[in-house]
Amino acid sequence: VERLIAHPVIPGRGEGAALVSDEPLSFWGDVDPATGRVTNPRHPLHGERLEGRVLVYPQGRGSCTTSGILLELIRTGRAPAAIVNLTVEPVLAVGPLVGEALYGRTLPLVTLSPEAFARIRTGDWLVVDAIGGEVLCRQLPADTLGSGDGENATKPGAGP
Amino acid sequence: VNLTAEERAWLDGGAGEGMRLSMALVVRMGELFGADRLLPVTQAHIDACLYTNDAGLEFAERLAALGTRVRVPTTLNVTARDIRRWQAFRVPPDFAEKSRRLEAAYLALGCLPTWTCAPYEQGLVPRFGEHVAWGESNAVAYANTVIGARTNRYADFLDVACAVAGRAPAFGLHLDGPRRGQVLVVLDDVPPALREHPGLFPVLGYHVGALAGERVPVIEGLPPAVRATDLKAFCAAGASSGVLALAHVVGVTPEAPTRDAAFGGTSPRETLVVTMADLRAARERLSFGPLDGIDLVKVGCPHLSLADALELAERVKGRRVRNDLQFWVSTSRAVAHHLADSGHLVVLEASGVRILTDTCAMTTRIDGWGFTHMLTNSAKQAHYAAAGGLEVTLASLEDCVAHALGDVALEDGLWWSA
Repeated sequence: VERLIAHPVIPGRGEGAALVSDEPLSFWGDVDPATGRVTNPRHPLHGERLEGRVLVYPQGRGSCTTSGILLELIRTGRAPAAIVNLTVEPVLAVGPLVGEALYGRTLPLVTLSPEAFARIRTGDWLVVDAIGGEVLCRQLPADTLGSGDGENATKPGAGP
Repeated sequence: VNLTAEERAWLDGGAGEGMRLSMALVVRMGELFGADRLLPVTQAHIDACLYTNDAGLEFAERLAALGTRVRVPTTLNVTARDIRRWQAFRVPPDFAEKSRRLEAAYLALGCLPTWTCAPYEQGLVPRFGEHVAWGESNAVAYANTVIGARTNRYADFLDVACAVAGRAPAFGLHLDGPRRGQVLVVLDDVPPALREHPGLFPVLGYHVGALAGERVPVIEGLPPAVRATDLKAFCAAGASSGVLALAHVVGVTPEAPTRDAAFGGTSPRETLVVTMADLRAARERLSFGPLDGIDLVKVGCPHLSLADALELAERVKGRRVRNDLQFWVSTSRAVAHHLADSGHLVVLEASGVRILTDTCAMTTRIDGWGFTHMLTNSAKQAHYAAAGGLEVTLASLEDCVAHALGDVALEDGLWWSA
């Protein structure tokens, strides 16, 4: 297990299998609020479900409606367990803050240094502590790297 | 965050629950992003009025039920339907009803029914240096870049909270420091003819937006007479591929009379060289597939300006849109009103152009049409249409019109002969 130092943005704790994208993501346009799946066929995470995963991507892009889509995912329980970015754009922080006020549910958000960020692969089990400021990363065994479908990592048995 | 006595009272609930909720969000954002105080804003533009899901509706109806009112003049972004003609545009009734409820909630808050994503072209247009709280990514980029007004990218709900509080947390692009240029963008082998061509700007914006990330780019090498409509296309594109909220164009935009002024006396952290190869690659990301099979030609993203609409009316006058496709123009009801009063709307409609107001093809429901391939002059439109699963092709307004009328499009030479 590797301990990565994180900068907390929205406090909270969450854990799940990592879902990693090197490309930026806009919740509006890239994610379907009804299902919590990435529906943009041109995004590397196309088809992936966000629910219960720790979503790892460098930064946001695009629409101011990202907060609106994220709030709906928080409302319906389809949100990621936590989000890890290189830089958090203010637009992303608003969804979790309103979720807290409206539904008493939030979504922990942290940023990592580029070096720490680069350590994480899809399928790694991440424990995000956005209060103390760390991410525990249990790396997927090397022989399963590149075995494709990240979706498997959320199934029972794949976690710790 | 230091608050005045009045702001403290609002936060403590002295001005009602809606104000308390709004202030709590504004102050919390200030804490998270290092604001030491709140700034009064003169106006707001709300993006949260676009129906996308029920959480947004619950938020708005809750505020409305609390009797909340906006404190500053507040315009509304696009809604999810053409309010007067949604049936003709094949929007499902249950969806239209949800949209109607959201519209009603924001009108109950005291917002103005402008229903446009180009609030900088008519209505409450801010002046240079004015602090405003605007949502809608393209409008934010335009306000900062072209007008020199000051706004961060206000996410849905924070835009509403700022409108209710009449305040914004003092961080980011409200302050001098973060408005300074950070990276220099120079155009390398881009030929002069292309630098003046409207086809360049959406592609350049799309490329620069992705490249600059959160940094403020300073672009050198564009002609001083760049048209507002081209800067608008640039801003919208950069705010789609990235988070562009402010760019300086040397010799063009108000905070960049010179390169030094744009960087505020600091040095560029990095210089990014844009080549024709980069631009061709960016254009290809937005434009794929052969020209055949286009069933929707869509212009007006962001909403078509009055100037562009007049030019379009001139082009299509006495002509007829080919019958194997739809030609849609999305614009504000304010522009549509001027077109109607001046007799141009009749010209456009007689040629087969459909005017979609209050919304656009990516914010309303178009699944009832079964479109497969969209031709557009907007990188933003192309980006989101592709994200929605459509085939897209990007071309200049002139070529979009030419294709819609069955004439031959001409532009490619400019891109490939260089």
